[in-house]
Amino acid sequence: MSYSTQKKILLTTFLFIPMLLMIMFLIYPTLRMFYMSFTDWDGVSKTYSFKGLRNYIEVFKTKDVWISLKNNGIYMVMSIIQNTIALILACILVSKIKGRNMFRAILFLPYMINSVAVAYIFNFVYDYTHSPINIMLQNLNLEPIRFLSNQHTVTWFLALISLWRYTGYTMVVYIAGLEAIDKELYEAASVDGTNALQKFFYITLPNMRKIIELNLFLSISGSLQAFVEVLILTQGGPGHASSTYVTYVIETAFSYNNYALASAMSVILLIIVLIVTYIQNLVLREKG
Amino acid sequence: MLKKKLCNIISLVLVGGLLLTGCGKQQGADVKTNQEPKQKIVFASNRTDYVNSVFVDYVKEFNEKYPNIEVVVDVQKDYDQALKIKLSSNDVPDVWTMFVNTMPKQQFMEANIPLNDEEIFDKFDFTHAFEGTDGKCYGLVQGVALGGVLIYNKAIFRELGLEVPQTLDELKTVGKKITEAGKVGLATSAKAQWPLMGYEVYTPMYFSKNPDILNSVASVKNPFTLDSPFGKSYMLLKELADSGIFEEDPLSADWEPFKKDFRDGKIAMAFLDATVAPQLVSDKVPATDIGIAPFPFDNDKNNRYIVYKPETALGISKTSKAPEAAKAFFYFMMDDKYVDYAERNSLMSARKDKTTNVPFFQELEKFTYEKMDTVPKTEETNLIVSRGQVDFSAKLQEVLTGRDVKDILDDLNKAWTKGQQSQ
Repeated sequence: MSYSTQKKILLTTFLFIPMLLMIMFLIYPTLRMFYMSFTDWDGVSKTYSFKGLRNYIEVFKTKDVWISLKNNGIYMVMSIIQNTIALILACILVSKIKGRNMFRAILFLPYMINSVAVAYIFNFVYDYTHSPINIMLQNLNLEPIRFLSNQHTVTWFLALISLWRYTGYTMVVYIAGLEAIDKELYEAASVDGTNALQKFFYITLPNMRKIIELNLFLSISGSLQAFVEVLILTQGGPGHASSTYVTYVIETAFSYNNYALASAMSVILLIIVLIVTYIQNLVLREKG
Repeated sequence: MLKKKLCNIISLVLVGGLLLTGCGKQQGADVKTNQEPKQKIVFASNRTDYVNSVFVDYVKEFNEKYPNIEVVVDVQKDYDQALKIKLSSNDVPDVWTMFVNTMPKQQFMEANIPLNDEEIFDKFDFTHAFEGTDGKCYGLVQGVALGGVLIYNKAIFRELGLEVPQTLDELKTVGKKITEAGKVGLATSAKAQWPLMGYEVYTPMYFSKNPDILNSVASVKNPFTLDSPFGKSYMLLKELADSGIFEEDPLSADWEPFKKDFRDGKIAMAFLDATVAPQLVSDKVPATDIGIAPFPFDNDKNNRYIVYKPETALGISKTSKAPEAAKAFFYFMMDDKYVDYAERNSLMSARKDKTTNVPFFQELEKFTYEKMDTVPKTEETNLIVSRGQVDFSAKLQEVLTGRDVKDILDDLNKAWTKGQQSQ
């Protein structure tokens, strides 16, 4: 047996199990989801019929889908704010200030707590009667805040949880990027007499383009898929005021047995993520 | 070198062992008999709270009678979902708990054996609740719950010298007095959505005097108008919210804190099913201090109803590998343990030959009311609700946000029409 055949056999045997698992649990279900999105399957029946694009049309005609997408928009705005804060923090913490490692650790800590625990923490923080914030406000003779029961602000407060949780993580990625920039560039710029702002805009930002792109992709696609906080804290309420696209998909599939419609919604989500990423790449490329 | 290898192998085995320790069955209690078991059956239930207590005792008692049958109690927190998967993969538990309205008739007809020829069948009422399209019964009811009632804390009424309200006006004035005394008049737990079901399910029945009200509008175009029983219910919720007898911020009031507050004697009334009463008992609020009354949805004292609804039922799988054993356990639950199970759950007996003694029902005699039997949702209604994604409880939450009731009803009509059209 020749060396190359041996190599091929070895590679195939090594790859067989991971490939099999991937086909079974990722590729097949995804293809099946595409297929199901054109049917009227209710998740239980053994039979179903083809409905063409009816599910896709229905998704766009449903008011609650648009409310949910608008809420994802709020998450997206928050994710951009999150990136800005993270970049500023990273710039501060990459300099040689005292206790920087401690600050880095503290800021990274929220990311390490699991999301369900975070949701429960905020269930307390946002509680109308027991919230420490509201107790403080009441002591100052101010009106307590209806964090989760005001339909106009509830999503902002929920998105704030994501901001709190992921800023540390985004910051760490930025720090890694910042530390990789050649120090000599800054030294040369100093010799040329540039100030700190000029250094940031002409050296730091161009060198960080790839990292910013990555972070924005992660946070924007994350914000399109946000659901844990909503599911645990409000179940999309009051009414549908805080439901996100994914919680609406979950509700469609598991509360109303509209599996086919939920599949169509998932396919649309996939397309939205691709479009947003494409636009983002275009914008960043132009700037670069 | 060899030592190192040995060390590595031992540590690998240890780590593997540690990992596997967590792999034990978490839910479900295996109860084995002393003798070698000859038959094994699975009993599926949603009662996670019973798995280490009540069911263990039940199985023990059952095994005294039938030592050769091993009963595996399989409880699931998300019972409905877990069951759906089991049913669609033909892995039906031998004896399993069924809920009214949660699955298409076709499904339990495919899964279960008909029970009409069983000798205890004639002793049961409410057999229509689990009747298939062929007119046969596929599940027998474990007890009847009293739905849509006013649950109240007698101690608070005694303490403030108040009478249990019997009209809507009384409810508002009494509720106001209780709220002024620093307690909650009528709790909604609106954040959890489902506790608002009283206004979704029951008051439309009461206003229309028709337990079949939702099914009856299945083919009606835009049935949710302001003067319809549904519109009246939504307006009732708004009226009660405006009268200030609810929690300070109902949409922040969740279910678990509600139970705690009721047990601490901070809540006077709630509009729920009587089955939640056992969960509200505590040292401060003993069972004898919890009362149940008809809900005063209007000002006519003589126009009061309580909905009698079959709670859960048990059915026997068609595909059971040990049908005789399954039947024996079914009879044990539905005959020997019938009253015990029903009393534990504050249920009235659905058997003609047995009665239950539930402490919460003691004062119920004081009030006059008519019994209303529930009618399960028809296939058509279920389809409209699921295809149109008609979310009544979310819409009730919107009433509490202050949104105009007319707009809310318009949304419901749109969803209803969508459901009707996709039939």
